[in-house]
Amino acid sequence: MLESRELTKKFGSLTAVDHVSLCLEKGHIYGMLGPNGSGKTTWMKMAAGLIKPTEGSVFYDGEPVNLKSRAEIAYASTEPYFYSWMTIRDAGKYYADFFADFSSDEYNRLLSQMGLDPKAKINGLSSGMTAKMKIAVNLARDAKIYMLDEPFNGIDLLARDDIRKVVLNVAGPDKMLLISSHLVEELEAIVDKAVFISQGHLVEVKDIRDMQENEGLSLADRYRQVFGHAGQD
Amino acid sequence: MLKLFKYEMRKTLMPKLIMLGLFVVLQGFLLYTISQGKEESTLMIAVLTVFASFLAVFFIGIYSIVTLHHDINSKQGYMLFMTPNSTYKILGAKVLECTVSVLLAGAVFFGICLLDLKLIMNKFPKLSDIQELFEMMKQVANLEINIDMAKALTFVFETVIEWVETVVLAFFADVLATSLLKGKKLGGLLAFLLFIVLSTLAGKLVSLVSGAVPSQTLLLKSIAVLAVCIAGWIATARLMEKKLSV
Repeated sequence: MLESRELTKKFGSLTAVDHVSLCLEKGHIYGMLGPNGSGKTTWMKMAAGLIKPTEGSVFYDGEPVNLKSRAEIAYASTEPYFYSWMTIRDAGKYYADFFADFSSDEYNRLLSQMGLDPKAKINGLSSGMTAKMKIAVNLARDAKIYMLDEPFNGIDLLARDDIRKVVLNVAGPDKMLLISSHLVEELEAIVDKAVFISQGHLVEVKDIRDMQENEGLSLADRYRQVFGHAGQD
Repeated sequence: MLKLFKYEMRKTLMPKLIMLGLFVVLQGFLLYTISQGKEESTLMIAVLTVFASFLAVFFIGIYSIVTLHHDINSKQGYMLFMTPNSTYKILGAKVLECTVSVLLAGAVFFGICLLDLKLIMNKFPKLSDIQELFEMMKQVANLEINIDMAKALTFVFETVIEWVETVVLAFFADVLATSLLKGKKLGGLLAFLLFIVLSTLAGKLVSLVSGAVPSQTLLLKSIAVLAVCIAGWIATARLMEKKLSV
């Protein structure tokens, strides 16, 4: 349902994503793994239509990403992107104005579940609160695809628990989630498939259960193998 | 597009409020000097108010271009380009905001300046000599004394479409520079140079078209300016859709 074909992005002399062909199917939660600068964020931004590829294309349900895909893909960028004048409530109103699948009731429920005050200014939130807010506003959408870029970045264990709970709640047979994170152990508890990316290249897509049962490897073990610290600790 | 327009207005609200606040302070001073009968100070502040009005309207117009630049060069642009709105709508909302803001600000500030003038004339009858002096100057310069409503509306229409043309060309120059030099320091300078080149070319084109039939200069000029606006809007929206990464 979300597919990139020979997707490439160059920033000057740097190739951030290099001919990546990847097909992500609904009914799965994918973890996107790779060291800093491996191209995860750039790939997601191209899938969200925010960055234009240098070569290749991203397809959603067989069509190049367009207005329809933007209406059905929820993307939470790792960087803060809300307008500086917004409160948490304003952000909800903004999403309600532009996304037909946004539920204000669900948003309020998620805010309450994660202990966020709707009257708080987004600019004044801690990084943990901002991360939770980004999750709440995106998961309050009944989207077909959720792409969460580094949702656990810089936040404490309890906030991570909150996020993990709400992420698992939206998963379903007609949904697809793609989550990137450096916290491999954290991801292993959520995802069922792992996409490994290194230096802009797709390395492999692994089924977590299959890997655990047939190869006796955890996600962290495989990460070490792929990215150069095999078996060392 | 109205929802986009609403948020464009909200994004540019703060500088407008600051301009209005400064204007209110000036008005406060003006009313104080009028109440105290200080003729010289009143005149000075009145001149300052008129000058500030022009500056405020200009600043409000320019701020819309600054907002677009910020939207396409910062992460806050995700808020716009992530939504299922076409680039035509996004750009249309920006042009509409800029036009409406300038018109509203112009009407409010100009209206207040007229009220101030009336108040000053009533309070200081001696100053009505100035009005007579203006009338004499207009006669000497062969200017129309009676304001023709049709001509006044034509003037407003011309000013508005020329302003829209300037805004659209500025948007195009900025989007083109950002698409070509994403993240580079010289992007702002390139945008400015592109704007100068585009404005010069558009100016030449409009003069050429409007001079084609001497009896229809005004009509042809309006058509040419509107054509530049539409062409600029389509080109900018296409560029945003195909090439712009935020």
